[in-house]
Amino acid sequence: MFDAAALNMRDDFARDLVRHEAEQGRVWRRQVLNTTVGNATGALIAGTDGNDAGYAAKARAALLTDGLGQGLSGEALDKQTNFAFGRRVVEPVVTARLSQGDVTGAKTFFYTHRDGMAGDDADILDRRLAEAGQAWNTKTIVDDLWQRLGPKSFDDPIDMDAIENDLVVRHGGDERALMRERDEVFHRILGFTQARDDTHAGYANFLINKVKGGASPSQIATLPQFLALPKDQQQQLIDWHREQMTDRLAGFAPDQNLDRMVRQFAAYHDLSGNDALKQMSVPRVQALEPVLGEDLTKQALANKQASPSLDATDFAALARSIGVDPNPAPSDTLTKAQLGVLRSAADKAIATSGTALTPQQQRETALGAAQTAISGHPLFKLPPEVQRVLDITPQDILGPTTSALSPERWSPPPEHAPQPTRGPGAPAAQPVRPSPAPPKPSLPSPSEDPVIRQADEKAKQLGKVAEGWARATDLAKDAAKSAGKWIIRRAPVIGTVAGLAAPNEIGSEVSTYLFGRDASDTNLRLSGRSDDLSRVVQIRRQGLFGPTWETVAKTEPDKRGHGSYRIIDPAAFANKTGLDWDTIVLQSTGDKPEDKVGFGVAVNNDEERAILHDGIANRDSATNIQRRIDRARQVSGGTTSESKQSSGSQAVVVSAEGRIGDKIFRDVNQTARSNADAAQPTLIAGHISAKKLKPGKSFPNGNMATAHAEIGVIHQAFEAGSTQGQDMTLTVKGRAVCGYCRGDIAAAAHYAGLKSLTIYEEKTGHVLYWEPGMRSVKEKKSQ
Amino acid sequence: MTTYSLSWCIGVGDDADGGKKRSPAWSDIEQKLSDAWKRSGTVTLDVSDGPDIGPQSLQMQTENAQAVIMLGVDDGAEYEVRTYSEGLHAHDVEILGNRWSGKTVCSDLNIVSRAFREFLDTGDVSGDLLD
Repeated sequence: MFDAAALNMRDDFARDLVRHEAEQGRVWRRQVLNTTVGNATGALIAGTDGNDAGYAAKARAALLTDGLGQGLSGEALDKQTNFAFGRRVVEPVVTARLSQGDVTGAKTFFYTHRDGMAGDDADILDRRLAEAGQAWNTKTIVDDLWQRLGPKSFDDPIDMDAIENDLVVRHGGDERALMRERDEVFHRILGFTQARDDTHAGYANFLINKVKGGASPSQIATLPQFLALPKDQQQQLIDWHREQMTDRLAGFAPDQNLDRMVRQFAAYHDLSGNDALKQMSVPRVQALEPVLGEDLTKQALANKQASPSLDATDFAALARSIGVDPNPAPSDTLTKAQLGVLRSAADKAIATSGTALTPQQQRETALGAAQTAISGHPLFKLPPEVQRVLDITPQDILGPTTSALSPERWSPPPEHAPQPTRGPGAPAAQPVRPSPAPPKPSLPSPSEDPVIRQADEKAKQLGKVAEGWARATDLAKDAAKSAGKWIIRRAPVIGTVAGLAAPNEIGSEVSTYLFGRDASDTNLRLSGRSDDLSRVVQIRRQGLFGPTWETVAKTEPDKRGHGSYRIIDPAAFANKTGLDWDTIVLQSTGDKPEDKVGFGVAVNNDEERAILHDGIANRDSATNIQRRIDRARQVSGGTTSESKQSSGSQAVVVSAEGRIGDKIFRDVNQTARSNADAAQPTLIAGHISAKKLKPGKSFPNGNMATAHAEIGVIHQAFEAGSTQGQDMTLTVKGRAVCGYCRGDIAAAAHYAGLKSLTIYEEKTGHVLYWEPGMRSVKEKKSQ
Repeated sequence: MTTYSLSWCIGVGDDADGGKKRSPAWSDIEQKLSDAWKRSGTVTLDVSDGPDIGPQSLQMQTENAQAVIMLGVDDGAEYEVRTYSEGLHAHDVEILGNRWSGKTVCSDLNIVSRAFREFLDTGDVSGDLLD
């Protein structure tokens, strides 16, 4: 259709594009965004030859033809054509030009073609262009201002008075423009200070490594990196260097986590303390992520769209009640950060309360959230709530009659707990608890200790042991959620945690640990994203600029390549931490942060230990190792973790049946599933966790609690080792394959190594298929 | 010109009625949406003859006048799903045996109809509706 026109175009791409558009009859946003605007083709699209003979007009003609082909005419034809033209052609091109900063070009294109758009769409686009024009003006003004008055180097102070005066003088009475310009200046200052701080941190790292390498104080003092540091950091480094020369302080690398957290919360406070957030566009708020961090950026975006939280007066009262000065000096970053923590907690609690709150309810909700947030937050004192969980002792669980017990007395006795080996130059083992642990007395084994035996007997009589530890686990989880922190607790010789394994007898040879989220007040943490295959374990050290974290062990993925991880250097880990990792396999148990609770595999005897070591050697997951141990216990008549698994209670709505050769695998919808460990990651857990989650949404198919029946079937077949290189058929009964599963089934088929997959939707008669390379299952064309 | 394929499953479990139709008229789609809304079920509109990149499929799953709307989009690198996100439920909602985030659950058939109409007319659904 457009061949003749295409021959006259000025570059190959233009011809390809027009041919494509002629075939498809549409403009795809991504293609326009990525490749067309700004080059010769952009002009073709815009129809700048004055005769409106450009691509836009031709695309409109094609859309008109579409409508005629559908039997439309008159007003209906005009309506559909205008609608499609606006959304397929005008809006993508305008968006693309705006994204390249070409506001003038975007306006030209829009005003040329707005009459051919649906009226509502044109109005919306008009408003967008007006906002973009304001943003462009703001940028131009602040560019000029920043060039004249902004800092020229990291050593330059920021003259806020001069900047403010300049803004006020030039704003000419336009208060909104002034607000936007202030916002832009604020944004640039944040970016500048972060870049400066990061650079200084890099210099400090460099210098510390020089010191470790044997550089003398005079050598250090002449290095340009040292000279570039602020005076106070220079002095800190000198002091530390002096100390280093006299003290055998183990090596460390500064970690800026705490500093970064301070900056992020302080920035959040600054952002929330006035109307800046409301004046900012969504992309602008999104662009603050390097300054605010991911979580606070999401929250800022949510706040921008939600109803206002506490007003300034109420928030000041809240801060005072917590003991934080609501009006800190501009240089008091820590107090601003603390206010940011309070503000963040209050905002989140009010936003998630689910109902419209009265002002009084808002105040109460915010206060409760703030109190919870500070307990355990590293920017405040040692959290009482976390401490309560960390300090929980058997008497809390078993009742007041066992008050003679102390946590230490419940720790594994030396002859039962495998001791780590220590190299000659190794640093002292770090205590597991956050506060320095007193030296442990030499204890008799639990069964010989009359106090423990008495407690044991009492616990057994009351049947409270398992219940008690389940409660301890719940408490720790709750605290982890509310405090937003990692919690580590040594669960002394009484079974496993996280509800995934059966409690063991008191005195069995087990050490287990419970992890929560974050790490600031504890001595041990896991690090890394769930889809990151190089997760590390770190211990806490006191560093030059505050607490630092040193990597002591790396993990590697299980045989599925995701989901569970184990320590690959247990000796080094034990050496540094004093923890016995030989009996621990770690696994994250869910997609949400609060679910990421590590759990241990408990072993009671040599047979079980052999299973554990075999599983580790074969890179098996913690879940599977625990299952093998459970099966061994079943044979010997012991208890298993199976009783802890969830049991489905709802009717079967959807079922799926997969066949590979003569093997059959079946599964059902989420709420009817009863034969699977809900926390077990599916074979595509890594794929799911790599997706970018939008606020308020969640993805199915990451674990067996959220898996739909189709994914459950492929997962089972994969677990059974039946999928590699095979053709599979899948019959879905009860409903159609959902939108998410269209993509996730393709991912699962890929991960499982299937050769092909054919899906029969029983009720609709639809046949979908997948072959390697496809990103989703699709309808067979022959239907 | 892009052509579409409509498939539906009205009702739940063994009692459900299902079927499919190529190149459906809007009235066909509207009727199935209405039926599913009343009796529970799924309605899916697939691009059956069109480009491999871009929106591929729009689906509603509904039960008890609550629905999730999913637009499957192949962007050339990933298969993404855009959903409704203005739901008012604070907690997950169970629809056809699976739990869905309350924010993604739509309680207004008019909104569902609007999404399907846009998809049929333009091959896409606006980001304001499904993001």
